[in-house]
Amino acid sequence: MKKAQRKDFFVEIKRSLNRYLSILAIVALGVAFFVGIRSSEPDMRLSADAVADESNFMDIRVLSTMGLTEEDLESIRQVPGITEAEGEYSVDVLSIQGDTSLSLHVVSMTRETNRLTVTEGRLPEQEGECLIDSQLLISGDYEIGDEIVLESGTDDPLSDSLSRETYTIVGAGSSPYYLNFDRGTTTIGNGTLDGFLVVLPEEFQMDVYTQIYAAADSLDGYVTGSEEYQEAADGIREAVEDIAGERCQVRLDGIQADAMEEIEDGQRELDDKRAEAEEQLSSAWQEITDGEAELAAGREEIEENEKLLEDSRIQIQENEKKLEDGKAEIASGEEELEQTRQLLIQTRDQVESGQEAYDQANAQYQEQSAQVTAARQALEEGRTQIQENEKKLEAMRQALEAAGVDPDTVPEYTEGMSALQAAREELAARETQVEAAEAALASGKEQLDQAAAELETGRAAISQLEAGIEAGEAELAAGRQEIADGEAQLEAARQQLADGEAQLEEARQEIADGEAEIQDAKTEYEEAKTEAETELADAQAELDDAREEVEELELPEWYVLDRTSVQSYVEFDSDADNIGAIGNVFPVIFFLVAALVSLTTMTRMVEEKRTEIGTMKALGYGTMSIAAKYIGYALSATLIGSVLGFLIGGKFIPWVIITAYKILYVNLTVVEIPYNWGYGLMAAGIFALCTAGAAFAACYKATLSQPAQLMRPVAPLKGKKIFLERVRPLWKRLSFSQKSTLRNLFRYKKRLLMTVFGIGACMALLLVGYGIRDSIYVVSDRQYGELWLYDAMLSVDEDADKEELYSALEEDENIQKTLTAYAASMDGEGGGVTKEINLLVPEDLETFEEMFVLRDRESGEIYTLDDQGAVVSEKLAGQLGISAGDEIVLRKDETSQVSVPVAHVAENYVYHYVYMSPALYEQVFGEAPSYNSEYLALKDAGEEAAKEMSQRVLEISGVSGVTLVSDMNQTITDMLGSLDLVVWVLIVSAGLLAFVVLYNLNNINITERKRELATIKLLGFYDMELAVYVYRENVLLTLIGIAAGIFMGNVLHRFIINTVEVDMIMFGRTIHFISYLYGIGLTLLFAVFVNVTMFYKLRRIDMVESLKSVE
Amino acid sequence: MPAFVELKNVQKTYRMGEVEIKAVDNMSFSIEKGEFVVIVGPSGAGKTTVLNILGGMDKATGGTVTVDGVDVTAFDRRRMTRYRREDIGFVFQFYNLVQNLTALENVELALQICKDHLDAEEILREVGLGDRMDNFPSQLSGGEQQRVSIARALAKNPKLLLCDEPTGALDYQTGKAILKLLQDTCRERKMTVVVITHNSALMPMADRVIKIKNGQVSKMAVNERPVPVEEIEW
Repeated sequence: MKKAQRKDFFVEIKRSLNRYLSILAIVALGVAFFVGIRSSEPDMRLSADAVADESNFMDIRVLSTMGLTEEDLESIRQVPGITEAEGEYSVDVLSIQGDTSLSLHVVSMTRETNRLTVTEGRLPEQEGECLIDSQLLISGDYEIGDEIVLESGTDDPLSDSLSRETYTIVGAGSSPYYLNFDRGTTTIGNGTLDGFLVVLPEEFQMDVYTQIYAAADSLDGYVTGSEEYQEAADGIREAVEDIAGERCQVRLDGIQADAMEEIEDGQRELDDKRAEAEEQLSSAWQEITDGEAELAAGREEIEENEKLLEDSRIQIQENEKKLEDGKAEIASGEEELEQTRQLLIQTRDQVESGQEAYDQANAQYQEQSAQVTAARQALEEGRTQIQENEKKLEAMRQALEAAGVDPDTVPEYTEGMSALQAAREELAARETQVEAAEAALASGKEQLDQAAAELETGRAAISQLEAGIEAGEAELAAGRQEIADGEAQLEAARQQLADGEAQLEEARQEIADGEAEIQDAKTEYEEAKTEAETELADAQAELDDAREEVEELELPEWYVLDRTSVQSYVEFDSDADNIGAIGNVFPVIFFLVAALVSLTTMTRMVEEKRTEIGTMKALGYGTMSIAAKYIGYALSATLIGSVLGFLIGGKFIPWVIITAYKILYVNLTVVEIPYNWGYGLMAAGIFALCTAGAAFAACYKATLSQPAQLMRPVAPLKGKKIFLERVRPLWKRLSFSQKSTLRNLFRYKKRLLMTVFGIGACMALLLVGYGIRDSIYVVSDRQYGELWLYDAMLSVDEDADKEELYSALEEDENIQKTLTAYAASMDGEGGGVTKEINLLVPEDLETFEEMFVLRDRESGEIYTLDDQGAVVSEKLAGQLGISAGDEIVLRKDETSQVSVPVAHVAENYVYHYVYMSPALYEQVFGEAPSYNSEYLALKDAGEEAAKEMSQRVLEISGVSGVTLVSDMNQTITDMLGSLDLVVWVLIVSAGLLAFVVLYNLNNINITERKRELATIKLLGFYDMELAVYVYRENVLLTLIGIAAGIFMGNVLHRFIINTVEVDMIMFGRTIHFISYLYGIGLTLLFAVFVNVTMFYKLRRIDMVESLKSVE
Repeated sequence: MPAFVELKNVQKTYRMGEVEIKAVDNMSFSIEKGEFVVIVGPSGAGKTTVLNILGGMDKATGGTVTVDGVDVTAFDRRRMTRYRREDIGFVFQFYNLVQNLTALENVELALQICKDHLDAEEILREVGLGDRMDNFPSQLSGGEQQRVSIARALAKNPKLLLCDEPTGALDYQTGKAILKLLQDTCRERKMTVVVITHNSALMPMADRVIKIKNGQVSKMAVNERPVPVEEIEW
């Protein structure tokens, strides 16, 4: 380059400093963004790796099902590649501090690996001291110098694991094991660990290490997570796994030998005990037998005495009989006597009454005899009378007959005759009567005489009887005396018998007592014997079981894990992946726009300089020589811009992003941001190629023309009718300014495209930035806010006491509803793809609907879970390529697989789910679901209340874990917190890009149309009117750009979401309306800002200069 | 009564680093209303500068310019723009038409900001472009473009029509036709027309001739008998 040319070069830069700077800025931005965002991913990994290296973080950790011994540690140390290995004891404990109960992970301090970073105080140096998680210090629960009291969270006492309960906090720090807040889970407390506590290894009362950390210095050179690292780590891991088998055998043998020894000791002890028991039993038995013999003798004696007694009893009985007979005799004698007496009385009475009757009858006879004599006399008298009357009548008759009168006709006669007749008859009757009475009197006399005789006999009998009675009475008195004597004798005998019996009874009682005693002794003996036997048998069984168990002990298993097993590293890695995915898309778009704009600017510049190029050519300069100026111009701007962008963006952007992530990963104490020369060179190279290439191409094209042609002014772009003008009715309706705006737009097509693309890219970047937030927020909002309405999930042991569980849940003050369900993880297959799925079978379909919303994401149609088919989550259905009506294959284990019809595909964002009704489950799997989870809806789902609830619930037996929805939600919200800053980086970048692009394009626009604008100014347009003339086009272009941006943004967003999305999570697919508003608003803001800046440029347009001549 | 246009001791100094260049140095002259004025002088004499100052495109560093009794040099930016918009019509050597607008639209562009204007189509017909109104500048010859330019200036109905080398880019015949149009306009519309040219041959057609040299008026003469342009040959 000649001197003049060099001078020209610098003057050119000075004169067009705006353009130079704008190219420089665009390149700087492009490079900064490209290198910055792209570097963020590796820088994040580098930073995490630096933290790991600084603390000599373990590369490999080994866990065993039976713990790890000192020998295991030694063998691991010997594994080639491993430079340090250290054992760690750990136990999870509770610490009650005021109202809060914290779950702490107590570990023994390691010195070689996993070195702690002490943020305050110092490391524990002696027993009784501890260092706590700095996170606990921040939360204000503890302070340095405090005493911390630990409690066991399980039934085992704390002393099983730790030597003391109280520790003095001497320091606080962070462990490289935890990059973020998450300390993992535990089976005690509320299930979440709140922090760790480091004590000296001596504090632990455990025989074996919980895990062994091993570090390999050879891996320090690689970045964690990189392929090289993973490959080398895998190698070491495999080497450790190689010794695992042998070590496990040794461990098993050791355990078995120890256990067997213990068992043998036990056996010996048991045998001794058995002998002792047997001896004791047999002596007891001897005593019993002796007692029994004694009893038998006693019993015999009793029997003899009984016989004697029996004999005397018989005698007594006989005597009694005799006595009784005597008594009977006396009784009958008395009776006889009595009868005789009675007879006497009777006889006396008879005699008396006979006398009386005789006297009476005698009196009567006397009387009657008198009567009869009287009656005979009366009768004789009557007869005399009758005879007189007969004589009188005869006389009369005779008289009458005589008188010649018939006597029958005379009444007196007849009457007298009749009366005489009657009297004759009566006399006859009376005569009879008297005769009868005389007869009766005669018999009476006879009877009287007889009675008198009888009386006489009676009186004789009486005296006879009286004599008999007297004799009988004497006889009886004698008999009675006899009987009384006999009875007295008998009484004595009876007394004797009773005494004997009483004695015998006593003896019998004695025997009975003795027998009872013996019986008791026997029972006791039996019991003792059974007890001893049972005890011995149990002990034996226990020993046998133990022996069997020991014999059957399975080989312990080693889990040789590397850093991919450390949760926070995995999470960080996936966050780095996300940034990487963004880095693959964003900077490219950005870069593209920047490259295109700088390219256009250079081309435009060369075109503006055609006269000069013509002059140079006319002066005889060669193409290269001419082009050198422009290429130099482009290259210098590009290079300076690249270096600036590289230096600033390469450091600043990763710093911002990593700092953003440090909000989440607090323990990311080291931030490594090395310069990524590769990205820098690549970006600078592409830019240089674009700008210098454009300059050269334009120059080359220009130099093809003749100098004369070049020096003539280029014909201004011809005005022409645009397509719209042919649509007459529409065109006519447009105002003059609208017409001119439209024509101008289509006149500068390149500018139109560039502006639309620039604004579109800006809009797209903003939209994607907001869209990513939307998509991730959707997971939290929809999944936990709209789809899953439950607040907590309990894992329940299958054999837990369900009744107790339900009543405990029912009683809990904060639980509103519960849903029992069967949850299982299995493989789901479809279209040749297999995915791990979560099967959920609710017991009650109605409650299920209250806690789980199954719906179509697009139409919002609500699905009901029924027996017709399973409901499959959306992402799973997509990955397996199945839809409603197809079948999904579910595999519980290797051997069983079933086909289930798919009824619906439902919206879901987290994990893969297959929902089934219990009836359908039973139908396909052939067994009823064994319910193992409880989904809870809480009354108060606030963090505080939920945590308390989970603590309560974990104490219910059978509940093995609690998952709070709020915790899951928190994780996502935390993730979004850091993503927000990333989005801000995108927004700021997009804004800068928009500004530079718009500024540049406006600049070109104004330069290109300087003449036109000057003319308009000359015509007397005010500054504002002139600005409006230009702005009208810009507004239209901005609007078109926004429309294009919305389209591009949507495509980009979808692409990024698909790239970033991990297997188990579905991000939202749509950008929210408000995000469009934000994007549009910000784009407009940038556009307005640029246009305002351009206003001053328009104002400064110099009419005189511009119109002086054709350039 | 003061003259319609009056320049008094007008100065214009450009500072180029250390050097100070006086483009216009103490220039004074006056023009009466309705005159056809020709300003002649060699290149770099300062005639364009003085025209720019007169037309409100540039500001003088010293002196006063009075147009129709108003001191133009005292105007602020906005007043100056209004002055250009309402009182001045410009015609340039290179027409300065907006390429993207048709002949008619170019005239309309000027008229849309002007209150007291004439009808665009009528003016175009008057300058002889009645049938080329819908053509774009690129479809018109140089003379036709200059006519559009004149029509655009006239349509505003300005107090002063300023023409900077209106025929500089035209051939002889066309240039003559344009000058005739200007002269006719001056006569018919009683318009004050100022034409800048380096061509001294045009002097006879003017009512007033102002000769400029090195930023100063070297001679000013009133031509009692202007000659129609058709009669001038050069």
